Amino acid sequence: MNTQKPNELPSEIVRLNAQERIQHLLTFVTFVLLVITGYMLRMPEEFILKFGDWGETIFYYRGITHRVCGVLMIATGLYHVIYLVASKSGRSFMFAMIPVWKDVVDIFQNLAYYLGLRDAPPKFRRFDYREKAEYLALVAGTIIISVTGVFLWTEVYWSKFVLDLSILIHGMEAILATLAIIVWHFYAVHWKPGQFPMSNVWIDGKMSNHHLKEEHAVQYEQMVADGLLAPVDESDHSGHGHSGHHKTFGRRLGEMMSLCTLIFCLIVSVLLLKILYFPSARSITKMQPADTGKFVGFVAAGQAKKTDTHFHNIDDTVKLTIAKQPICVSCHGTLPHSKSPDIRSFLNMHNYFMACETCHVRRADVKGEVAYLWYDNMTEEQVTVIDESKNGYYGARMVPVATLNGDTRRLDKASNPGFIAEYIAQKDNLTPEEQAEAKVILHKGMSKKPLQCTECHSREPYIDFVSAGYSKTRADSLYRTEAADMIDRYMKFYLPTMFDPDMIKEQKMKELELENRSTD
Amino acid sequence: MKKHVALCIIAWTVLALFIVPASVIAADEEGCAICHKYSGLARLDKTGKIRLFYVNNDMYKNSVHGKVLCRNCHLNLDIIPHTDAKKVDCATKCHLKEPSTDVDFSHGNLYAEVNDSIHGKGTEGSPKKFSADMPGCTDCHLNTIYKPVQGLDQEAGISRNALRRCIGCHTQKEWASRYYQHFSHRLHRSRTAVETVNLCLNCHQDATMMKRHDLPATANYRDTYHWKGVLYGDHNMPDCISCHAPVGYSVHSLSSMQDPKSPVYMKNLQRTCASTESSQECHPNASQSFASGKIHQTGLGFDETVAAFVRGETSLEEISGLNKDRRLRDLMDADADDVSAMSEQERFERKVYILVKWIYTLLITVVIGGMLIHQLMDFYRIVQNRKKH
Repeated sequence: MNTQKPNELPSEIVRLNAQERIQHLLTFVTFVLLVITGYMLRMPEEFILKFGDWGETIFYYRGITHRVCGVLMIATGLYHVIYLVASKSGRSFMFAMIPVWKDVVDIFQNLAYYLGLRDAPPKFRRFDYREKAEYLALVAGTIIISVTGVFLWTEVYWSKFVLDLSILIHGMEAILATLAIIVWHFYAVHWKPGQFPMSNVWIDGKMSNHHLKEEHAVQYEQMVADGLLAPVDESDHSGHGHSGHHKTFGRRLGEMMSLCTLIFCLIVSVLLLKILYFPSARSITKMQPADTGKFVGFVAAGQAKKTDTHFHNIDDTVKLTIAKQPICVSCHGTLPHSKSPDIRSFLNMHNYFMACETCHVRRADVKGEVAYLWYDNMTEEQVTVIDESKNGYYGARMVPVATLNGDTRRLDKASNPGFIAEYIAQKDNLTPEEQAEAKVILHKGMSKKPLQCTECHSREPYIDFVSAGYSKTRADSLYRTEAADMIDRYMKFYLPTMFDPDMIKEQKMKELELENRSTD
Repeated sequence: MKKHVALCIIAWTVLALFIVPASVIAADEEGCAICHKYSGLARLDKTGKIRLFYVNNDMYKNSVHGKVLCRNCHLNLDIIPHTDAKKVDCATKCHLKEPSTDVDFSHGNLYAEVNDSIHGKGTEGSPKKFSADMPGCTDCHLNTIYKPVQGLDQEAGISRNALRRCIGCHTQKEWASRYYQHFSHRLHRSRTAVETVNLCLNCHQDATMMKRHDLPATANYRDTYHWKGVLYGDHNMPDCISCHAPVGYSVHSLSSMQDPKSPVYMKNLQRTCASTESSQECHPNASQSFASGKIHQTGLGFDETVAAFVRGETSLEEISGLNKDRRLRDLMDADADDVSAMSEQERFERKVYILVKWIYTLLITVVIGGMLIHQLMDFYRIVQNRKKH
């Protein structure tokens, strides 16, 4: 830029003086902090809960910050008022800001220009209608939000009605202000071509005569006529655009950041619009207390309230997770047995550590050699050792595997997945007869009569538990103490003496005496 | 190499000796765990509800009932399967002795207290209306795992230092530990504020259920600053109990807000908001006007109706069941059911509120929409001009 004019006229003006820049900076910082700390109260509940133990501290500083910034913002406003009245430049700022009839005309002319009905935009004065509108909205907004904020701060002196209204207005005004800043202000000083990535006026306060001529032609002409500003050198086109110029690293960085703020602001806007139009889309289904929440995944959605909590504190093990759910489960669920009232729970319990096919497919009905192997529920890898102390919750299930001519096949893997998928998709369109027919085909791998309790829980079990991976002790217990007796006499199974604590004690004493040990 | 293997085996055996007995020895005097230790011991009942018969013995031992035998609460277990088992009744007398009086222990007195309260089911001869809606003991209480207090900051855990003093005389360590936990667990609430709110809201945000009892649904608590503070974990923020059963009141004897005894009775509200009797003052300077007005109004219309539409509740029954009386039109209409109970002033205030909300929503829509259109046109014009040059 040619600053060495013979008559030494400056080629740029001071658009914002130091005072005004400080006021802008204060407003900017307090506004951003107020928005952040304010909307922390409107965040989705899940996000708030994620703060965990930090929540209380965060909440404390959120409140402090919001109040401190609120006071600072009000103080900035008062400082601005004093500046407007007391200083010469302040008064000229105030008078230039007053809306006049020309602004109304300008709006229509400018819109006509946008629509291509005019060749050039209207000539603007020091502040155009956009800037005046924004400034006045800022003044009004600051007053509204400050007053309601003070009401809320001194809540004990006001009625519920005043407070309800204050909360409403405070929040609404905040949405309006934030969206206006994004759409109106940030566009004008950041993203508008020519300003992108950022106008520097708020930092150095300067505006070039090029820029002034373009955007505030009336002021430009006045200043040139008054001999305060060098006229734009028409042969110098450096003021127009930056195309063709080498982009410095700093500028690229600025552009990147500006683009990032654009994306960020878009997200913020969407969230604000959600708060505005769909504020209380809170779930009607209730949230769960933290320590019993684990149970929820286990229970089918939409169930009655009474099952949310369980008196006998539930742990994770009640939830059976299998990465690739067996096809049986998709129709029959994880608790499939319901027919025989006496034993259905016992049968269901087995589902936690063995595949359906372990009982529902007899070896005689399978071609080839059948072995019983353990497969991890998540990785599907074979497991050779199970942790028997885990009471059936091994993270693995016992699966029958058939070997025929060197080919092995897990019997819990459907041989006809295509047919099953088709059936599930179509079943609502089928007649009951067709459904029955399809079900016969679906279950053709199943044996007519499943294994009975006593076939496995017997002296000579159907499945050789030891070769299936159980320890000798455990394999024995599956017959002796734990299961067999009970199953044998199932229908009329009165509490046996072995379950009676006094009997147990008596038996223990006898044992100790026999071994000649102290019974104290 | 062989040495390593041998070492491993020895290490494993030693480890196993320590680990396995711990779980095997777990106190199970009655042998119930033989079956009930399996987590899959469950079935679905006719309504599709899960009946879970699994009990984690380790957790149970560390719970408040850990010393109570299964059969002390679950009567008639003699037969397997337990077809004759009685539904557990917390008001029955256990065989345990209450140590201060040496009579049979029972929760009966608390049960009676609840039954006299607003949550009572009424007597057998004259049950309350919709007594099935009323909470039973286990709707609020779990067999809580001990969370003893460790120090004055109420951190959970056992204070070894305090316990050491007990063990000096009470040499049976397990007994002393249990006794310590028995009372120090009760020095704080076992539910967090968030859990408490969710527990109460389970029923109290259910608009249809509340309507049966002529009560407003209290879901709007979740719009309040109180709830936000609770969510963030601020211990000074009130949950339901803080106002409805503050210091000096019991949750077991909650009464209607029309009852002069209630802490939320109109004339008692100022004192409750001030909360000067508790260790923590809430609004010590609460004015009469601050402590007036209805806290739990029903939803304020517009947004909730839109929200229902968004959730896909488009059929009229769904909406009307949920929100009929909350629609703007109805709210503005003084004859609508919902506002008929209100005083003239309340109705006026309600209308002002809704009007302000509408005006602001409209204002934002128009202003921001207009701005957006303006800026898009500006952008379009600049791009067009650049193309020409």
